[in-house]
Amino acid sequence: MSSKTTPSSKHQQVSQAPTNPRAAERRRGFDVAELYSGPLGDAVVSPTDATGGVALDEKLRQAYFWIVNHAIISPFYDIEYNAEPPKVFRFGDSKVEVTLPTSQSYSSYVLMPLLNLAVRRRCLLVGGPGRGKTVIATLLGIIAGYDLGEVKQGIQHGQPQMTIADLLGNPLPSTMINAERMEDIKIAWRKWLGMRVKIIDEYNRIPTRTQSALLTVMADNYAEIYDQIYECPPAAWYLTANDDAGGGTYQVIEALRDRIDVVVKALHFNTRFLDELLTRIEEGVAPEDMVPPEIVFTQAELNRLEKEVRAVRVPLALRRRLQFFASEFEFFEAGGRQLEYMTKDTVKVAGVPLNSFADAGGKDTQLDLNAQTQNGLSVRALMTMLVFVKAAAYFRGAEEVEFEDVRQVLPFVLHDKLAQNRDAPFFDQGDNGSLRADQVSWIRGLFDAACQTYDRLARDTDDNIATLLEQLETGLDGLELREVEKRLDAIERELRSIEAGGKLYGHMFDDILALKYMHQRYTNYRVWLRSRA
Amino acid sequence: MSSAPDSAAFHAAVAARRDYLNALFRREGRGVQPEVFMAYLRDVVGPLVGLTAGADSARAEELTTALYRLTLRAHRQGLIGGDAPSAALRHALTRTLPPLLSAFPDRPRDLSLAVCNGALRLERLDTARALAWLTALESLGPSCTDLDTLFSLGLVLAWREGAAEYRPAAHARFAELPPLLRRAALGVETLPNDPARRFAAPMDDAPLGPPAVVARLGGFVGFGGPFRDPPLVVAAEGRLFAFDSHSTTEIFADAFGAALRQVAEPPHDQDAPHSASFSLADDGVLRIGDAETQLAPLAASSSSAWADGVAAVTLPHSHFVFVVGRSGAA
Repeated sequence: MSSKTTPSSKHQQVSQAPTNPRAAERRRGFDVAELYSGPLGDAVVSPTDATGGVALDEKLRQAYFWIVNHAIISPFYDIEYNAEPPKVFRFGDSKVEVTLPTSQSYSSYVLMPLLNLAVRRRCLLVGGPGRGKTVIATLLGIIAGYDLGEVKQGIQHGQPQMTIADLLGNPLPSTMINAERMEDIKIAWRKWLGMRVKIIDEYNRIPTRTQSALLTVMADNYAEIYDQIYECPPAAWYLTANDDAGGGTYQVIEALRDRIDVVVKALHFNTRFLDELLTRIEEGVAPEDMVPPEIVFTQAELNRLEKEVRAVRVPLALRRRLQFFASEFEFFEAGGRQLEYMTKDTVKVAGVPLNSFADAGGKDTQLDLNAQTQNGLSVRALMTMLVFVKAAAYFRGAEEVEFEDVRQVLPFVLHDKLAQNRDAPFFDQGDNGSLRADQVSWIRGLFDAACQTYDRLARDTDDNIATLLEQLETGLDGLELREVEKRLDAIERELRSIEAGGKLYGHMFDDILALKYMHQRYTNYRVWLRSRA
Repeated sequence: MSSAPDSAAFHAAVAARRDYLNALFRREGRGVQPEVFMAYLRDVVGPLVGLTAGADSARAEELTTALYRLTLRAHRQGLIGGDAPSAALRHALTRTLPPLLSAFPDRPRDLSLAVCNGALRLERLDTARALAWLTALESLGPSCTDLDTLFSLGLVLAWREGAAEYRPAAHARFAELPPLLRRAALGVETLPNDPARRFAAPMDDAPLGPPAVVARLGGFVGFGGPFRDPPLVVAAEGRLFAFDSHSTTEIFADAFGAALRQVAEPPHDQDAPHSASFSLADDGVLRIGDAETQLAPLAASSSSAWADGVAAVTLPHSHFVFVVGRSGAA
């Protein structure tokens, strides 16, 4: 929601609360701030939350709207929400669809880094030079409470000569001369290690050895030199790279890439907004100099923000859908003889190229989502996914995650987590070839296809395995032999029904293994019951 | 800027933050005449900073930045020095803020913005009410123990001055005020809970009079109202709403005032259309509780609704919503 301003005053103010009226409606009753917000800027009394503090989701939205209205020229709304069916237009020979969202929609290039600040994860900004990658990271550093000088000082500029000492710090020469033991050496740690926003510019230009040191800081949140440890505070990371493939001067080590939680692309510059650039040149003021104090978070607020995001609920029905989607990708029928080992991970660990295995054949390419990826989803990827969907819902002022939050956020979280199998037959069909390059649309399409299957199987209402798991969850204490046998029968019935279905798809893999797990638990219990008898 | 004897702290602050303030003016001051703004800084902002910051240079800088930004925006919007300057804003900056900024040294930005925005908001209702709100803040504000209490008091006083939409929040905040401030603000220490007495002032314990039209809200969009066509009213979730073919507004009304306010989303679940507490017959006979009266102008209404002590009625050929309630008989 942009501020009500004249064209000449476009860079002027923070959007007035409520930036999302829907969220404000829900928070009715805590509206003391309404009186005190207005054309001169909003006083920070609110809107207040139940504890009387500032409503941080509102502040987060204000930060978002300030960035898109005044700082970064990103006139793209690729994260779309609709309250009503949107109008759709189709263009060109490819009939590309353009929808006009009917609800507040967002630019991923600003929203995802901002959510990353809220949840303190690791965000990779990818795009050609001069697209504002470093600017947005700098702005977020200022929004996190640092002044421009501190942020600039804290940026680590990747370059081929960067050493571990450049990155982490140096031993103090005087202590090195006098030291008799390693512990006696004192390290002058680099200041950025203690910052709550960490910016690594052009991380793919850092030499491999230094990347390993960076990995320790990113992954384990500490730095180490000469047996000395520096514990870093929780921080939001921003890494930039010109090359999406992780190329650059040095190949990025896989473990480092794997630690990146969310990937955002800097989209091209829309030349219709050239006048905006001219205005900036004429004004001679960089957006980093003008961040309004209203949108700057204190340390305590950032801590509270992260806590509040974690408290957003993910409803059961949505969790089931996510489970179903995530279960699609790990299974690889040709990769083993025993079901447990029929995974892409088995193949990868063995170092055998996935495409060297014969196609299981005969599967519906639309249904077989599994064939489109080279890997499954790691636990880390699943956790990141949950964190970011909560953050998206929180940002919109919701108390629980909605379907569209998942659908919109997923592509950015799984961007580097799901490796595409570009040789899959799916990509040769129709106009699917373009999905080889458009990772965001591909992942969103995967989720949509998984949801279609989920709905076709009526899993919301007809999920016997979930029911069996819930039964087991209630515990075995006091369960009688007759009931145990009844449940074992039910498990075997489920297995038979999958067996009768013929082809094996990704989602069935986890189902079968879950059934086997339950069968074993009940079998052991039955043995114990019989021994007691 | 010429130096005034009591503005030394202000001048020092301006010198210290010169680059930032200049950049701010370049960015936010389009259309503002520099000499007019300078004169205002010299005559109003400087003395205010000098008076409230004293020799504390850090506080002077904080205050200067906050007031510079605030008054620059006000100049740009014509609220100061324009064709239609705001009397409430002038009063807030020259009369209300000096005692309040002296009494509450923390968060000068929030305090100055809150007072000025609140004044402008109430001025939209009526300038006299905005000035009365500011005057009450000047006299009662310094008695508050902290800024949060001051903001709560401000909300209660805004409700008292006719901002009916703040009623639920003001009720909640009123209970948090110290007893003395409660009495000073509304004349009572406890607000009556009886919805039937909604249109009687808190101090008024006289018997209620017959139902009467207590307010007329809305109007045709062509004459500055919110409705394009004659509205209808419904009760939902214990609240009253008026809607036409284009928008939905919520109705707020009580002894202090009445207002309509746009809502982002129409209510989903309507309350039952008939209530034991309220009825309106086609001939205009209107009953609230055990009191009945004939309101002929409301005969043949197009819709009526009742919630929490307030009745709202619409007519087929009127763009207004008629609010009916029972005031104190006195």
